[in-house]
Amino acid sequence: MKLVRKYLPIIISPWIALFGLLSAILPYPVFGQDFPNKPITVYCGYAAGATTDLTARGLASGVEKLLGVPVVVENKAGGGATVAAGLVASKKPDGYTLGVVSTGVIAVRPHLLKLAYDPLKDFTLICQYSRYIGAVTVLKDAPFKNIQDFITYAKANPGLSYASPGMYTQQHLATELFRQCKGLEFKHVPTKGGAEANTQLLGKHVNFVAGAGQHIQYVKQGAFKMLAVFNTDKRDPNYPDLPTIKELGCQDAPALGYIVVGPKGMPEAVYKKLSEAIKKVTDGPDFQKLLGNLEIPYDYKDRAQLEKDVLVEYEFYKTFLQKMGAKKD
Amino acid sequence: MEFFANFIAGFNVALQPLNFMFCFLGVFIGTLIGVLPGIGPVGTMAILLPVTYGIPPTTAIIMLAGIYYGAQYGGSTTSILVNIPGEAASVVTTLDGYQMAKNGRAGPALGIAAFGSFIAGTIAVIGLQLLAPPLVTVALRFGPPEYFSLMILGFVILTYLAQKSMAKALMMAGVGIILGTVGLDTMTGMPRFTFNIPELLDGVGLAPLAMGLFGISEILLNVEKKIKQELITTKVRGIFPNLEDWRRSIGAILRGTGLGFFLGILPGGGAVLSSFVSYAVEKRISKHPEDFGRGAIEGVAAPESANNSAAQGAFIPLLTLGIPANVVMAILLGALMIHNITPGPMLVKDHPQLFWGVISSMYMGNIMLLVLNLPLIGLWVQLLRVPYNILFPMILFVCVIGAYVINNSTVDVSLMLLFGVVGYLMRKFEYEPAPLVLAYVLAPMLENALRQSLILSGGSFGIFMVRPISAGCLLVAAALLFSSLLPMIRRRREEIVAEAEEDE
Repeated sequence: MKLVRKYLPIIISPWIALFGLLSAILPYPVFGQDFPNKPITVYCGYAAGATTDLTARGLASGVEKLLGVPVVVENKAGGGATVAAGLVASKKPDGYTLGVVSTGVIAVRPHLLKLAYDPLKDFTLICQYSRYIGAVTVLKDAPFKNIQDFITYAKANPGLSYASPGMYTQQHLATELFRQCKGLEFKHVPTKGGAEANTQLLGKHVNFVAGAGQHIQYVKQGAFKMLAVFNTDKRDPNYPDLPTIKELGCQDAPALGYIVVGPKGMPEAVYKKLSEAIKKVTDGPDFQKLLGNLEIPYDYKDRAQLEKDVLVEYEFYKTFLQKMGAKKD
Repeated sequence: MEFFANFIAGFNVALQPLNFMFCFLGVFIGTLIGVLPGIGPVGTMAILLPVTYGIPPTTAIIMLAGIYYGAQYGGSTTSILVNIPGEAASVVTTLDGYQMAKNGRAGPALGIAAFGSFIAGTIAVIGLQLLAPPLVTVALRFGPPEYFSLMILGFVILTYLAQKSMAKALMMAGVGIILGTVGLDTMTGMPRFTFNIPELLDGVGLAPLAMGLFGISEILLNVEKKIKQELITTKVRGIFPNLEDWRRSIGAILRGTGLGFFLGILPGGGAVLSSFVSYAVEKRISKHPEDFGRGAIEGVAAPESANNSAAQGAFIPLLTLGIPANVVMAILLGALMIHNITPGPMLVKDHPQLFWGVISSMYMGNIMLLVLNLPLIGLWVQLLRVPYNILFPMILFVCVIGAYVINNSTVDVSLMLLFGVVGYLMRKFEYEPAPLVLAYVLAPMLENALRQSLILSGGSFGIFMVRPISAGCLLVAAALLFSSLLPMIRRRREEIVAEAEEDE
């Protein structure tokens, strides 16, 4: 025991220093009574630094102040957020475990993967606060002024290549629908995400990119320009000149949403407290500013609306993916 | 001189008390988490991200950047002292660093790692300042075919890392590639080799793999041996490398700096790849290649310099193009975007105080790290005097916690223990873990680049030969392979191996 006492401090002192530092910097509010009286864990379906993660952290820090308990975001990236979703579904519905994921875990992935959860039954949907966007995006100095030029050019030069943020993402599917409806021929290069897809366009390794959000940053800097927007019924108010692919007479893939979910069977009182707090945060100036800075739209849907819309998405992707020949593992 | 004007303007920002304080805080936290295996800069920076909401963006980036390059300093410590790489980029440091510690030269090993990191860090910051804009255009020319060929070159270099049997090294690389394919197929989103374990959809984690193969297996091996302690308890002679050490290391440090800086600019596994490549280069050009793996100080100096300069180089694509070269840079990108600052070609023009301020803070940070690390080395060396019956359970404890906290997953802990047993058997039968880990890291990039290239070319393999950078990489790889097959060189290799075996 003497030895332990002698050497233990050397080994554990860096740990103590680390935790000491973290607890000094991180805000720890007072514990309350009732719900919530202990830290809430939020599983984020995407990696740290991703747009979804940034909004989840913004949400968590706001809710933390309102509810008076720590709200801890844990990144569980992978499987198109199905890993995080599966984890949430497996927990107790006491409100202390939440997930910030894409509606894709309900509407898209179940048609492609064998999952550990039932997409339509295993969740308490709390709300949606934003949606994922998409656009046909080319380099600024590309030889087309608008989408019509682009279509003409693509007809004359079959086999243009494009990078998407991944196979069967809403951006890939919308581009696919656009391609079919205009009778074009593209080579599809799936990447690991928006950042890699954009890099390929910057390096001129592909002809265009099915932009998934981050492309806007390059548009603002003057490196890219957009030709048409998809995954939306309405034009983007920031870029009112850009047509939607629906206006071009094509079918579109519905946009997936950023949603907050909990395990099924959450008590009504807990649900109410959480959803009210989240609504208050998403309506607040801090969160609105965050969305504005990230250039993603504020698109709030409450539980009832979300439950209705997600069913529509579920059915659309089911038929469409079958038609595309995607097989479930 | 515009350069000096920027330089002075940058220091004006970096020397503001708030920025100075946060710079120190960043490098301090970075050193701590670098020393602790399991906790890496990614997790720490993600946890601290909300803290940056309330402080000015320049201050935030100065602190987050400090954590990142600070961790590169600390990362070598556990590699050298207990043969557990704190980060993937420190894997190769275990080869000679731990041997040096066993030979009673832990002090100079830690010392040269700190000095090498300092020299590399400082030179790389100068490079970052001077070369950022022109280098970006080079980096952008790396598309899928170029990456594929670069990876192939990496794999060929890997065979040169083999201490003993090249065939066994290649077999281990094969196992590494198979492990690297576990998880969702990035092209089609289909799961592969996941055995219906949801956690495996994400692939096998690097941390459980590396900690198991290197750390746990080391403990198991040592448990068999009765008396090893005497080696460790011999007095450690000073932390300052002697003149001979310097003479042998300075070239390695400078070459490591250059290689690391260039590889760091490329998106992908910059710091990891650069540490392996620089080690291989040193071994190749050394007059005493037989010393490598037996405590050659160059084998510590080169990779530790390379990973530090790669860490600085990685800022170039982020600050000038807005391309995150790795997850850490992705978090920094996020931190900038939260403050409505878009990293990219316009950043230098739109936010000069941020760009030059952050760069200037890196000079300061590197000095702080040197001052912070040198006195602490004495403390870390004390670790070696801890009796094994206390040290081993502690390492095991730290490994288990470390594997668990990354994803809060018990599957990762089980995987680590499994790889620990596998690693133990591998060592018993003289299969090296390092080629396995490197192949595992490169495999997903290799596969992705190959498939993307073939989509672009419509299935033709010619695409790898018509593009100059790609063809160049492949030619160098072919030349290396060919040279290793030449009988003369082969004989030399065998001599080296024989000598290495005598030492065992």
